[in-house]
Amino acid sequence: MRFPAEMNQRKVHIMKTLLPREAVALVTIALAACTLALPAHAAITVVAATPDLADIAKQVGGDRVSVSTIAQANQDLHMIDPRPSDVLRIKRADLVVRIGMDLDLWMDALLNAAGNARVNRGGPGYVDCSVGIHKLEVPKEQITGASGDIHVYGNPHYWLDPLNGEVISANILAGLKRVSPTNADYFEQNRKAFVAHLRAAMRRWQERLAPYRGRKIVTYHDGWPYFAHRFSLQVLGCIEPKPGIPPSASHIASLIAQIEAEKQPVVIADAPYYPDKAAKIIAARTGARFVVIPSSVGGVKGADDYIALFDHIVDALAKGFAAK
Amino acid sequence: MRHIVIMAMLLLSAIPGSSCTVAAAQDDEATPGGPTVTIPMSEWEALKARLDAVEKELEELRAAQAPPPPTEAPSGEAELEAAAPAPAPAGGRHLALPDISLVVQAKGLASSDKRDEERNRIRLSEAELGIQGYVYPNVKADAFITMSPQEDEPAQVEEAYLTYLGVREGLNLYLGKKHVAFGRTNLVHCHSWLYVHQPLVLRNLVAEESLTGEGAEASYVLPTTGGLFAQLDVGTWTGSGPGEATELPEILRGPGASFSDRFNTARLWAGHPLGENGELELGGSYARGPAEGCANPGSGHACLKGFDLTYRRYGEGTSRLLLRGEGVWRHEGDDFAGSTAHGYYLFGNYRPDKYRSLGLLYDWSQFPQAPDLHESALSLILTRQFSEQYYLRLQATHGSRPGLSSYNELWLQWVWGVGPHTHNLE
Repeated sequence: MRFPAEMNQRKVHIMKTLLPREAVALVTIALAACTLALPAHAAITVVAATPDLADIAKQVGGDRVSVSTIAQANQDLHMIDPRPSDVLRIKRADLVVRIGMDLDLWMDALLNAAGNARVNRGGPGYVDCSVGIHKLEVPKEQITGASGDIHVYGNPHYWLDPLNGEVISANILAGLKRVSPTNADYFEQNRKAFVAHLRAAMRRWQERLAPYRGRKIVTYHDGWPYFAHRFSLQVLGCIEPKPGIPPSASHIASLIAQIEAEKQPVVIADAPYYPDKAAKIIAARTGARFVVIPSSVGGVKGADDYIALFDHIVDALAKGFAAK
Repeated sequence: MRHIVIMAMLLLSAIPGSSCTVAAAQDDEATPGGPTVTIPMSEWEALKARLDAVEKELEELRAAQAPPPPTEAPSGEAELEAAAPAPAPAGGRHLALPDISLVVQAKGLASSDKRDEERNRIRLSEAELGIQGYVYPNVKADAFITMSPQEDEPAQVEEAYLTYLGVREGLNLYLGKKHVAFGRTNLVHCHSWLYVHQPLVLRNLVAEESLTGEGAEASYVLPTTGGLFAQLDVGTWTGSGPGEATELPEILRGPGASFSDRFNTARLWAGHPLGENGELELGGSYARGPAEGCANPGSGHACLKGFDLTYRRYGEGTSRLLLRGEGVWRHEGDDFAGSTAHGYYLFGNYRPDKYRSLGLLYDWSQFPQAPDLHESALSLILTRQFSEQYYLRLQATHGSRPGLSSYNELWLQWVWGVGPHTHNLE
């Protein structure tokens, strides 16, 4: 309840409240941390959600883009903690490239905090690379917590089909042309070169895995349906009983029984950052080969770009299938 | 699917004017406009309904049959536009519905402090209903309604505000009721805390849960150079009234900020990467306004100053180390020469994987209404994250508080939620 005397006091206090010494000090410190304006960047600044998208952006943008990534290789993309320095990068970005399909929801917190309307949803510098992707495992019925940490728009690990690299690069190309139309021809040429390299590599990978068509793999997380679909492999099961749910003893026993029932040896494979204890137990019990495969550019030494990433994956799996 | 197609054909055959076998058999009875079939109206309606059902089923089956993945990707913008994204599933965000969610918390407490009325009970501490969505390009609406059976007002609007995104480069504006930018964790909702209850210094000097006001706030990411992030938040608010300070022989609780009328806040938050996987953050916060329930009645104003330091380091997968310290000073009186209370906490949290985390929290705090008294506590915190929507936490505390030189507590907390629920950068 307010009393007249207090109301009178308020008039006196308002000026003090508006300009407290400490608040002025905070503003002064803040301004001291600033420069009047940043120097104009010659390159187009691109911030990608993941190293894979970052590499494709580099391939298309060439030397006219400066690319950085929010998630590092070997970080679980489902659980990225956005950092203050990431906000700064988004604020300075001309183009933001994301995975979409609710995998990188943490990008929304960054986009909101950065206050850069150019790269917000609907802005010219906003690129959702899932546009145009043929999505797999799109839920056909109501999903709840009982389904695990499932994504409503389908399985979001689409970059693990190398041919989807073409769709991703086309999305990035469209974004780059929007923010820098004068460089459109240059970007087009770069993308053509990237696609040509990708297709040449694709033939190589398909030849390498051709003898193993129909063979079955077990993964920790349900992250490989796109890859399996592309190379005619089958995912026998996942160590996680449902996405994001840790394995139980009964589920592992069930997987062991499934693997033992197979006529041909099964390969257990997934990214190095997933717990490998269950995979090693299953491998020891069944004789299945356990291989570590990177799911992102930079995930293992030498997987320095999108094509090298699949070189490593294909090589590791081929060796796993070939092992006696 | 074949039998459905056949059934559809048969049904179509019963429709006048359709080119089907039944009609052909009646060619000798042709009338202008083609052969006719006379059937009772009820049968006709039943056939139409059946046809609709079959057509619907056929559509669903067609949709369920995934076409093979593209071997040739779209090569340009025009083709990409033609390659429309997959239709949103039911409940997806392409529908004009906001994100609606519910997050519920239950807490159980076993305590050796017999003054504690909540000891040896399990209570539903809070249910938070979130409604979030965009109302205009670059204008986002967030509303969080909390329901706490133990509170005087069981349901209240915790936050309801609009965010104007990117008004100017780096500038966001907030309008409405919200958690104010003060301290490192005040914006964080309690279900996202890394401990069961607010650190003692924040509970006694700032707010039982979060310092909230009705008003406006500007948040500006400053145009710094290099990798230095700096954000300035300035807000002006109307307070929600005095907090509930308790006196001995109850467990002593500070009243929080207790801003009773318009108060102003400012926060400067800076961060800089330390190596590829580390980040150091530094923050300074300030709040000032008329306050009731001060130690010196009639002093009229209270001022809060806060300082926080956070270090985060990320490892492989989801592993993370977080170290944080925060100190708060509360002054009363127009010249701030009145009573002063302060406190701090030190917190460490290690998350080896996405399923588990281990925390250690040390608290020390004075009380604004009795600055010569203080309390301290050391807590060990274990969290088991079952999924993104469900976790369980155990917090064991040993401490001392006025009237009790030593006490032990064991907290158990369950948090579960349904529906999409997001918060601003925390």
